[in-house]
Amino acid sequence: MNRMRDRYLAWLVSIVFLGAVLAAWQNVGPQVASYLSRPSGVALGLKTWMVNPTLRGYIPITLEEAGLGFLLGTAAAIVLAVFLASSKLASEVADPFISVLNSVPKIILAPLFLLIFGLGLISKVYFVSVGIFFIPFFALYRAITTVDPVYLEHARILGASKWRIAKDVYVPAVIGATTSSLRIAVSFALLTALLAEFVASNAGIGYGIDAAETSVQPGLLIAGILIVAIIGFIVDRLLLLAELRFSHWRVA
Amino acid sequence: MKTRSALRHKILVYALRIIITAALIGVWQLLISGGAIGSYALATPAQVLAQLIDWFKGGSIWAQIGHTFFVFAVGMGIGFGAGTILGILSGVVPFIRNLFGPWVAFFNSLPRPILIPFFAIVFGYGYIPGLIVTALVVFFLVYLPVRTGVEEIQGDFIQNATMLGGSWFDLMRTVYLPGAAVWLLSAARVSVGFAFQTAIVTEFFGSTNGLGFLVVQGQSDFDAREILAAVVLTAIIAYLIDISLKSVEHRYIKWDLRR
Repeated sequence: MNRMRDRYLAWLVSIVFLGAVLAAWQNVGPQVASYLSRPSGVALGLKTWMVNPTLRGYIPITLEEAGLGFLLGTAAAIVLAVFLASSKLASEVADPFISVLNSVPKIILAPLFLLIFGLGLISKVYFVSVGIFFIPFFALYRAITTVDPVYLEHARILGASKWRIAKDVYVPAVIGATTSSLRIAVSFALLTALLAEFVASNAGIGYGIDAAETSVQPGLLIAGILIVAIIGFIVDRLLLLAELRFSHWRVA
Repeated sequence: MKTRSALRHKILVYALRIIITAALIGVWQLLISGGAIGSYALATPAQVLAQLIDWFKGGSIWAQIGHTFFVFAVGMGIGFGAGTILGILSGVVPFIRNLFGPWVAFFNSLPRPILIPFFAIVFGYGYIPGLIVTALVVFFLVYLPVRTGVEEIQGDFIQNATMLGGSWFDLMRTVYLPGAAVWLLSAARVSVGFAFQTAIVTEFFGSTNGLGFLVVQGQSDFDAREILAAVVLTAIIAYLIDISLKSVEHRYIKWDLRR
């Protein structure tokens, strides 16, 4: 009872605070509004993003870059993780390469990708896949290599084939960790696509935000950021549902 | 006998590593001299090395490295401090937690670096947008785990400390901070990498200094040597940060009760 009241009170304070901020923002002077815009300006910007066919078309472009890059990066991560986990020699040889590559801030490679693969979709897809690669890779690799050997021995003693061991021991053991890493990877893919668009592009939400910055249209810029926030929020919730769906696989 | 085969295994591993490194550099070189990739897009290993030596001889490179480190360290410090303080407060006082809850949920699903253009418009170009965004990135990496860590402290500890006459300060020092310490350590490990990366990203936008600036400068000059040299330099620095962090972590591992 007390806790509920506490929570409502906090919500109330939050809403009042938000209202106060918005009211103060709406009433800023014209000079401040020229770089901070106003809530009405942001609303107008949001409308422009939705109505203007060019701007509206930017949204699926970014989603496509992020989605394809995510799929490619995840597929490559699965292949490499399974390969390295199945061969002790390969994993030992690869260890220093992986720790060096992993510590490199991937974002610094963006200009390089743009020079090699051009401005379009391809360079973004490759860049996103490199950007997210290590997230599912490490999760899957760790999960595979830490499978309890007792389970493996039991399965083997009971005469399980390689295929059965893969299906009944490995997949259930790794699916939990992998799906939670994929949730992180998806939001990362979105961010990486946007950053690549910032660096250089001719389309996409990041390009739209960047253009709004260069032409000093803060309303349009903040509206673009809001759109990213909304997309990020929706995607995250959807993935949370997917993760919960798979969480019964997870063995504590 | 056993040591001998172990030695042979070790030699094999190192030999393979050297072969792969040589092959990678060879392919890199061949891609360019074979004409598969234009020399405007990729520079040869020798050219990159020459560019790096050039930078270090000129001496101006230290200012660029220093700029990136300044944004990285100060942004990280601010984000870490704020995340720790607010995280503990939110864990101890439910009202504060509820107050921040919706805001944290909203900003947490927003990719923080997207705010760079916004802060650049508000504060102008310079290091301030970089500092703010780096601090924000680190803040969320610290705030959530610390809050969880404090919330999960067993009530017994708190009640015992209170019963023994511990003041608010004693409680903070002996119960809450050690409870959060485990989480702080792992958060620190993660946030160093993110902070460094964010510092570089912020230098992509309108900055005139830093490692990130060197890369975009190379891009606008269509000079692949500059880009690659900056990339290699950044990779080396990032790797050095990573291994020094590992050795520090090793020393404090006794704090980590989970191991």
